[in-house]
Amino acid sequence: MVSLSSFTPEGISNWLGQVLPQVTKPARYLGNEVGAVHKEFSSARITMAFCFPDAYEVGMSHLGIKILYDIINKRPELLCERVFAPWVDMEEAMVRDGVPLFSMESRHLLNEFDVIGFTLQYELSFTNILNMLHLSGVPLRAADRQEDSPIVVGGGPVAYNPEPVADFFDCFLIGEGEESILDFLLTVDAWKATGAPKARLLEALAKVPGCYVPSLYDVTYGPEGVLTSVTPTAGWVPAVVHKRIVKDLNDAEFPREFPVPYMDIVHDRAMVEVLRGCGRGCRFCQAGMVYRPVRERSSKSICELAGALLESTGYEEISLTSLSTADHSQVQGFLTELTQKHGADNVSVSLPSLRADAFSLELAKLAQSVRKTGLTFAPEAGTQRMRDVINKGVTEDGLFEAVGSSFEAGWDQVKLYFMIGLPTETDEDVLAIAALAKRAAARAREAKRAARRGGTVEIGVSVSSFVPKAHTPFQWFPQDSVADIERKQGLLASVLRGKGTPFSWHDARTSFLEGVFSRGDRRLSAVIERAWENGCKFDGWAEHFRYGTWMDAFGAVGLSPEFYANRARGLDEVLPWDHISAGVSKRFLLKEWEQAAKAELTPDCRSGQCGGCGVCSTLGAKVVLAGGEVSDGDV
Amino acid sequence: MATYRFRFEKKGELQFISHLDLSHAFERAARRARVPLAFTQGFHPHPKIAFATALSVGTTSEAEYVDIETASQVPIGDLMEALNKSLPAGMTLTAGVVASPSAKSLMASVCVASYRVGLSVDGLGRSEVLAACEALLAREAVPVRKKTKSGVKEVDLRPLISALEVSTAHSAPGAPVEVTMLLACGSNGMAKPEDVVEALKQDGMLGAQPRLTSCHRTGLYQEKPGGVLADLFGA
Repeated sequence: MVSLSSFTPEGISNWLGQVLPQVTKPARYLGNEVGAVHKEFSSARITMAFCFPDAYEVGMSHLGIKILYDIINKRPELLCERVFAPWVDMEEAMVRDGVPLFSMESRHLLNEFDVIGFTLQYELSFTNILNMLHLSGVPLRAADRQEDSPIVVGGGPVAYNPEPVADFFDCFLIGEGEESILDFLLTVDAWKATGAPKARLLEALAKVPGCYVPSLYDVTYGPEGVLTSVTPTAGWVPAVVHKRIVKDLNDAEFPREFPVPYMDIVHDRAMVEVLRGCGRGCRFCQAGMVYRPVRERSSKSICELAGALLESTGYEEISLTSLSTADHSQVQGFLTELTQKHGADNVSVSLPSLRADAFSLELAKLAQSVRKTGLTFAPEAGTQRMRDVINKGVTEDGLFEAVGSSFEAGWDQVKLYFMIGLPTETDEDVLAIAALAKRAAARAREAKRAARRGGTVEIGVSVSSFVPKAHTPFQWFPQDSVADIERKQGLLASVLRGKGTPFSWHDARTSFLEGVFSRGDRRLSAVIERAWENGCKFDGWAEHFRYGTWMDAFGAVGLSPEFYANRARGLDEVLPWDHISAGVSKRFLLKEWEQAAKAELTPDCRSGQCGGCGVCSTLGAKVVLAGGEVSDGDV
Repeated sequence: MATYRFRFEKKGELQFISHLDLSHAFERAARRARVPLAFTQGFHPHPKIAFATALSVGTTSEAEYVDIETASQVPIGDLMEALNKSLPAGMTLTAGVVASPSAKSLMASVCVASYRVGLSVDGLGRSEVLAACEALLAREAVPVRKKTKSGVKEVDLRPLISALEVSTAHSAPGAPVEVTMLLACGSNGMAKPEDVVEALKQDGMLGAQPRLTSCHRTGLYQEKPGGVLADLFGA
């Protein structure tokens, strides 16, 4: 029997020595990877436990944690350690032996840290957040915490609408964290030295640009349950919290090393972020809206960072990551340089999913001169009309040229991503997905024959269900019901039979729940808590997702999930996230919503034609291209 | 082109990484150390790094072996030093030779492994363990059920056990008893300490739950003419 009084790091290490042989993937809990930063815990003035609310293999694939971990740890007075959600078997052992949640590097208990931070990457991680707080012994609700409880802060893309989990956090950092994380930690540092009550800290934090303190806002609801106002409790609390951005990516700190996992993780490679933001303006895409403006990293910086990372990690693959790498104005240049420089060492350079045009294919061929990996294109919709509604500027000709060239060049499989449930969609649009895939397959076969290559072709058809997101032109759109989506999936399945076009789809009920939270309000915290109490966790994992338990939680709390996901929102309704700003004006989003209804296109903002989204003027920012700047238009 | 054969240890919490993890860790350490690795050809080039046999998760070792092929010659001392600087803590190269070009591969050479384990037998002690081991060795056949990738199969463990000895050190009541084993580890059969524990459990002489509290591989051997065992350095 383990001595339960020893919750020191040594005690936990001893306990782990006995428990690790009994759990799956024990490498998840080691914390001594090459590149992990081990600092003397007591040497730091402010300590932060950076929690990724999912298993190690998911969290370690995330770029943001690598960036912030490096930035914080470079400062001798600060310390950042990683925490991942213990898998269910490890949690069982922890609960059985009364061991609280501990950090990876030093195995200190989370409630010994000054700050506990969570990155909010997707809505279905909410129960894991609660679970990790619970395993740490920290009261779930901010209002229930003591003066000496760690400060619980959240960030990441879901923080653009943090309302469903607002009650569990002391504050959120909206937008890009490179600079705001330091402002935040230094504010905590200054406050800690004063010994003043926590209320003073929250006041100071509310004054940090980009820091949202939910307890300083009152929320009211009307008779039909619709939100009527979100009001600051004091005059000096900002009515709207604007996101932080790094104005020039070349000035932003980027890690030259990071922990290299022992075990296989989802994205097991070195990563360089080559650009941030996307100017295409696809109307369904939240990332495209909230990461504006486009800011490119210079070729020189990209190549230098890539070299440094490969040297420090020893990785065999480097990924040039961004929302749309093929759109970087110098992509051909740095891609050629990198493949030439590192190809001799058999290091492969990979690009994330490509735009469906021939240029992207040229890049793919260049990148894959070392090692071939799968190709994916994302046409998103089956008809040109539908693609125009979502402002996805992909034509069928462009797509087929890319597909044909892929098969000519040596690929045997290509995957196409689509969405169903988009605004104005008809069954014809849905069926057109299958028709498009089949035409692509025919084109692929032709191309292979022309290149005298034998064998079959495979066009994978991956169809997800559209979830309307906050801060997009489609944020007022009622999401398709689960029944509608399942009917459409059935339609597609019936026509996509046969080999050559394997069809995969996402569970409609998962998308439904995502839809509830992505546009939810604070009242949902009771539902999340109830669902967690009844055993929900790892909701993003099919084998753990318990839809029935979630629906019971809604019922018990007395809230309707359809109210959040499937209700058409009034264009002048107060939205639960209106007080959080990504810099893009509501007026622009409304205009885009109207354009969508007419299937009219809006050009890429990097083309010099400013669409007037407002981000540059609101944040004092500019589009930064590696070859030179585009003027900051203001319409 | 040259091949270097090293013996290395895997200790501490690194016992919890799998064999596949180990081989990735080696490759990355070699890249960090700027070792001029030789690569296979084809669609998915990978470095020519080969091991003798997998080490189970949860077992430490002082005698694992690895062959690393390089594209150009490197002084072996420099290579060892560079790799040791770059390998994760818990993995250390302890000896090395330049392999002769005609050397048999590690995997083809290894045939026997030695282990030192701690065996915990609730309430029982050294003399009971000794008796149980002697009884096991006296049997003609020792069938055990082994989990394999394709299911469960029954294997006769007896021919795979070359030696099974209980340490002469006195162990306090309740403390694990130290046992050493020499088990087959090659193309003509493979047995692991857990299999031996399973067999002792089946015999029923050591209570319901004999279990390993520690497991450490002390050597990997090839068989020379005359049945002599040698480490894997001798070609």
